[in-house]
Amino acid sequence: MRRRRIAGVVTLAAGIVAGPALAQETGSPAERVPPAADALPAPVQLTPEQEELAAEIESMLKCPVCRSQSVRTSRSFMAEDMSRRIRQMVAEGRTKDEIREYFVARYGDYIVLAPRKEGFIWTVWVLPFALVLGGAAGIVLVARRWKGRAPPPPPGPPSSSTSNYMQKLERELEETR
Amino acid sequence: MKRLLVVLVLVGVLAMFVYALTREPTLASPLVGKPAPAFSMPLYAADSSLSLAQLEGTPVVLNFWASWCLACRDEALVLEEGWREHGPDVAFLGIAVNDEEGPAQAFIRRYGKTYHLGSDDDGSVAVDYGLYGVPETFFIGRDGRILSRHIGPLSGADLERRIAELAAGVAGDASGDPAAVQPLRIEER
Repeated sequence: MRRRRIAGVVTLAAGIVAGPALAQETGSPAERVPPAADALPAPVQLTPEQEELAAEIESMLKCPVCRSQSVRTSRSFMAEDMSRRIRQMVAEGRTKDEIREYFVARYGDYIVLAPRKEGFIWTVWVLPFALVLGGAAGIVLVARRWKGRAPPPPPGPPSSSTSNYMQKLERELEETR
Repeated sequence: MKRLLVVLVLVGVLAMFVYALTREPTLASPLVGKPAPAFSMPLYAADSSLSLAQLEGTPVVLNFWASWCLACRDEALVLEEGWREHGPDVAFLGIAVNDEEGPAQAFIRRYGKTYHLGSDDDGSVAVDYGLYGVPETFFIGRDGRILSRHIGPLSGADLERRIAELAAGVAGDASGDPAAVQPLRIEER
């Protein structure tokens, strides 16, 4: 599927690197052939609106056996199983919140990619923006303070130690001529 | 003092983000204490299926396994011995996930398994139980509630402790070794 092309490349690369080690570790390659396509249940048919909702939910949930990949972008078996369940629930008329709660009840909050916007969790959403705005305000304040500062005083007359040094320098220059 | 406070707040925020980015699934399952999700599985040994509802009133050891899983080989004999000692007072069920019938049957023959073994063909039971990998074992009390989950291979001592908890109907602590779990296969379908 087009939507999973990028994840496919990543998975393929990981497979090339880890494949031989995994095959050796977990049994002969013959044992690891995935189930035939006809052994899998028929895909759930959805209306365009339902497809949109299913896609939104798939993007919201993490693939539990992948690193930082959503169910939508992952091509793992687990993500496929989760995707099938999401589509079944969408076809049954379950809402987005109901489906999210179904997965949270089984995996915990870990399964949700983006934290929920409620209670203390709001700080996770607000804090980054607050920090950026605060940083920008800080930079502006510091810049204004620097701009408002009086220019440095002009250099004063040479001190006695400086003039002594100059006299010594001139004497030595005279001697070398 | 002000600067120290700012630095402390920034370090705290950074620590929260690092924690959020690196957090991993934990041993504890949110399903513990809740009714075990219902399922029905086709059995390998007979041309029939078995549902969890048929075992109502009996404590259940529900083990998820796969023939391609190394750690499942480590616990295969432990489970069989447990079944021979405690069955049928305690029901033992094994559900093969992401597996094929041929290798699964070979695994069953190799370890001489005699308890109820079936397959989760469409992965729906694995999703219902919030599975990360295999082996994982759920212990379901007489009242149909999940009392505990063990991640990774079970030792004989683990199994005996869990069965004692099942008999007493008390919830056990989460246990196991997440590092010993093999994630459900991540290859492309």
